[in-house]
Amino acid sequence: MIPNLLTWIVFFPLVGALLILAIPREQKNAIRSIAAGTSIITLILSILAWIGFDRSQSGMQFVESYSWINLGDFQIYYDLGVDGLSMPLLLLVTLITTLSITASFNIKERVKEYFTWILILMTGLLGVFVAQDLFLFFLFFELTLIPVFFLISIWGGKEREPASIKFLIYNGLGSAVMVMAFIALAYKAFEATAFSHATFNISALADIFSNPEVSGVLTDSLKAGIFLALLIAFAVKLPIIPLHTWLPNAYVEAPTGVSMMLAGVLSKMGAYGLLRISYGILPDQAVNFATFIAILGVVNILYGAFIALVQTDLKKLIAYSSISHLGIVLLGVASVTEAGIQGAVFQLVSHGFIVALLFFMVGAIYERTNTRTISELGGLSKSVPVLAGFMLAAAMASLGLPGLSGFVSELLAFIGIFGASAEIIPAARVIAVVGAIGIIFTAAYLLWAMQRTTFGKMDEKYLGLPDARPMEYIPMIGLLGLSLLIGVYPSILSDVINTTVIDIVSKIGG
Amino acid sequence: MSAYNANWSLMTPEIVLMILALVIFTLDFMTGMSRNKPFLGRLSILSLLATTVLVAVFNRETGQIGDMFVVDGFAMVLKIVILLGVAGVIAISMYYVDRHRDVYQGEYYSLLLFATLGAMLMVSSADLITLFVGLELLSISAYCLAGFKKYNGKSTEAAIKYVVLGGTASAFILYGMSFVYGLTGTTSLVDINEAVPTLFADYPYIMTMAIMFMIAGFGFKISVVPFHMWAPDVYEGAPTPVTSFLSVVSKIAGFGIVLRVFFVGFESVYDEWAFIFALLAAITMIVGNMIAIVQRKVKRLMAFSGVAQAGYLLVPVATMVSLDMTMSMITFYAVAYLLMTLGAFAIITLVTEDTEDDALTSFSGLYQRAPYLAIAMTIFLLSLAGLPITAGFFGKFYIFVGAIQAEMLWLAVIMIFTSIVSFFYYFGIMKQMFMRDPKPNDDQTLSVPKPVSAVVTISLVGTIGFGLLANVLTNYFNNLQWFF
Amino acid sequence: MELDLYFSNYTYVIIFVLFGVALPVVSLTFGRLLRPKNPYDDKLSTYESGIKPTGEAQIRFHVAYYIVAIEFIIFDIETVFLYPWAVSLGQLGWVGLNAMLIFILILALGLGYSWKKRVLEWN
Repeated sequence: MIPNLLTWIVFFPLVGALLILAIPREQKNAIRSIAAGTSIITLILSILAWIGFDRSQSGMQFVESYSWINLGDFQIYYDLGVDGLSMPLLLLVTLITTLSITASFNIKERVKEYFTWILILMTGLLGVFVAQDLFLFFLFFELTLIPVFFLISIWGGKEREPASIKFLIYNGLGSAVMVMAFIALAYKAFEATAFSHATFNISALADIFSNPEVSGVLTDSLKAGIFLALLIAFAVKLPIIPLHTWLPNAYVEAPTGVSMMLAGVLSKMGAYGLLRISYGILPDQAVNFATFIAILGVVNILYGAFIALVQTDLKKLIAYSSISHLGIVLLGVASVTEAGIQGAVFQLVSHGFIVALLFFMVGAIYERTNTRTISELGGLSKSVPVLAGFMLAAAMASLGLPGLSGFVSELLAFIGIFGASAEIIPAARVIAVVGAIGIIFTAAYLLWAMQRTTFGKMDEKYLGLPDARPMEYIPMIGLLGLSLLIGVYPSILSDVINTTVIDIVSKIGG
Repeated sequence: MSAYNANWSLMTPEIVLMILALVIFTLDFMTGMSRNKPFLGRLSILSLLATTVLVAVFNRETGQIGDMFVVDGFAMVLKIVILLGVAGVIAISMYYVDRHRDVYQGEYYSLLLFATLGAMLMVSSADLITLFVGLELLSISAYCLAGFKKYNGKSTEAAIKYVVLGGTASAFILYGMSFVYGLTGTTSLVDINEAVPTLFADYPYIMTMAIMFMIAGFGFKISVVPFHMWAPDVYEGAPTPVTSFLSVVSKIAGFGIVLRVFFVGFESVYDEWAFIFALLAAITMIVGNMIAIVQRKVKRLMAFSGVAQAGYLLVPVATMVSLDMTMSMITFYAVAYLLMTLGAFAIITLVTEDTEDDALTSFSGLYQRAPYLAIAMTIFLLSLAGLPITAGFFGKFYIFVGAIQAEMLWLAVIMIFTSIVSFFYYFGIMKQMFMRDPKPNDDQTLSVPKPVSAVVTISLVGTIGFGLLANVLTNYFNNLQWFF
Repeated sequence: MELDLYFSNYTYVIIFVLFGVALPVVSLTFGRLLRPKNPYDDKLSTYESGIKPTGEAQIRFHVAYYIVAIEFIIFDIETVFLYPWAVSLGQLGWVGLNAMLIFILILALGLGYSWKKRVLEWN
């Protein structure tokens, strides 16, 4: 195996970005191919990691640990590693980014900057999923803000500047709360061990917090406070109602490729942080907050679905559907059962593929028709049959058609919440049933939207539109194929995540 | 210790710099009244670099000449920071004075060098009298520099405001010092430190008043709220390189004197004054960041940004867990502040000069006009805003860790949330650079003169370098003996 | 150091201030009470005897006055330093001599500067 594989994976996109900076901006095709090449090589590297990943182990693999900065008491380490939780997400990042870069080939203006930012964003995202030191995690988490700000505010739609500032401020505030929680965690652990163990390492902190001998300082109210702060911080990214208001603006205004990255990968950082840090370090609080998180999940599902139902803009509809679908993640996470958490991870991956595909389809249709308003579209199955077909397929995947990945993940998550112990979530069944109603609404708004856009009366002016270009087949087939793959052969994913999920659940003792 | 057997070699850098400054001063008036004297600028930079080397050689070991002049880790690090900062300022100035025929070059450079000498004295003394002499040498030179465009109304206004308010601040400092001297009977900070605990117990009000007077005066020099009112006007009116001198060197030297007086002279009564600094830091961060949002002129914006940054620098002063760590935090952030502010000012000087406009919109389309400058400016602004991967990001994180370790949660909260507020205005400049088209009457490409691009490049390398390899500095600082 | 002593030192200051205020107030009040009061035009003019003032009271002095005044003060103060130094030169020895030479050298440079800048020329 390649030594320091994770470092290569994380920083290879940055190398590509520097390479692009060195190329004159007129050579657009060279820039595009370097961007694509970089992402493909990173993808190959991450596939190598996926293959070399030992599925029987629950701990960290490909570990790299170097002492980095000394803060006096605290020592910051350059700690990387992947386990069953981060491995699929790592691959998700490289897959979605590669496809998003392919989908961005039609960007005409300021190509050089665009791909530089995308690759920097890729480094940030990859770093978040492999960092095992809180400082490093925070660094990568913050690093994602900058490229997204520029990507939205330069290449976005009409309202791009307010949307980008809103994104920046919301997520900046989220990060602020997060870093406070991080340092509180580290400092309280330091205090609890009688000032002998100063660490930012996630698993070391988990050990300290689970050690019953040092629980004197670590009172329940303190832990609950930190857990809540972390929940707020990750809720902004995920997003959880009511901290979601940046999302519709950002998703809608962003260019297609960036929307794919935002919805497909960036939002997963929140859920990942919740599982890795909140659940990893404070498992007992996970039990205390389970009902709260489950209710938030249901609210997300229902609220997202209801708002999506009344949307007139197709892209906004997908943005709200994304909120709704991430509610399922929360439900699965809250259940603290094996099936539930597995479902949540499945949903993260599957939603990543599906929402990216949906955004891509909307982008492709918008490029041709110049409108995203549902009522102005119609009869697309006649004018652009291939695009319409893929969009329909994506919608089906999104509403959970058996055989596609959405079905597996929703099923697992709901099995989890139905099976949640009554001590942890008193009215788990009720919550599950209410959540399931939300799924029906999902079907309703998606099918209704599809009916109005792909079928129905065709506007004459859409008659001569060109159908899918060869380049567009790559992301369409890729994303749909991956969704199908997980749908029909789920164990390709569950093999990897299983041991880690069992480990998480056993720590929580749910 | 008498003057005969004192270890005068400790003062070598100062003496050499003084001689060089006098040589440059003499060369200036001996070479007639012609305006253009670029060799003086080059000579000044060389003098500063030579002095930096001398500092590294002669100030390696701690030593002292009474308490009048002390050499320790703190003095050495801050001297190097100050000297390199001034070298950068002079590099920027060489471009600036070339374009301004109303700025007389020779005096300009020698005044900057005298100011540097004052700053070096300020960080290298443990005696109230020498500290004050250093402070005045710096301040008086700075007053002159602020009014250097003497045919420009705004510059004159800046100088007058600065001299009147600065004089008042000096009076406050002196008044506070006289109280301290009156009660302790000594001007040596070490002796003061021994005497103050009992004095505080006996005469709490007079001591508090003395400390408050000094804080008010020093607060003016480092422009913390509510003593910051001069900053925007002076920054705006002064020639831009002088603005960078005020916001970088003068401020860092001001912090030097604050740290020296309070951590050497009043360290034994830390609890009595820490909360004053905590309050000042809090309002400075809040007010500085809030007012910066509404600024439309880039130099005024940088003035308020500088106010806010001074607030961040005060946080570790108020949240000391161990002296070494606090000093390490402040010095790290000071280094980061030097790099990012100096780099930003180099670019600001170039852009405002080129467009002859100091509104924020003068930055519009900078990316098209000079991509390298735009990227560098973005990095500096990200560093000022505290985003990765920059020295400012780590510096803020470091300070933040310290604030939580001291269990000053409220201050930490204010610090982090006001940093988020600062996104508004820092990203506002980035918006101008990347998302607006250049103004039609500006040149489509902006040529970058060599000295400015050197300053930008060095600052850029430093800002990113200390962001990635912060350990280089922190390891060094952790093993440094800060105070003699 | 006793605080009482600290404050009692201020007693002299307060007495001094009181006297300072009282003196003009008392003398002017007494004068007003005692003197005969007989105003007429000549008596009310600015100068009771001499030439009547003409023109503005606020005239602008030539800037050279100020510069020369500053130059004067610099060398005036130098002389003030020189006296005690000269008296104690015996104890100060070579260090004292060198210190004063450096001081005078710096001032001489300043003088050379103002000479070159034609400050000393009067036109």
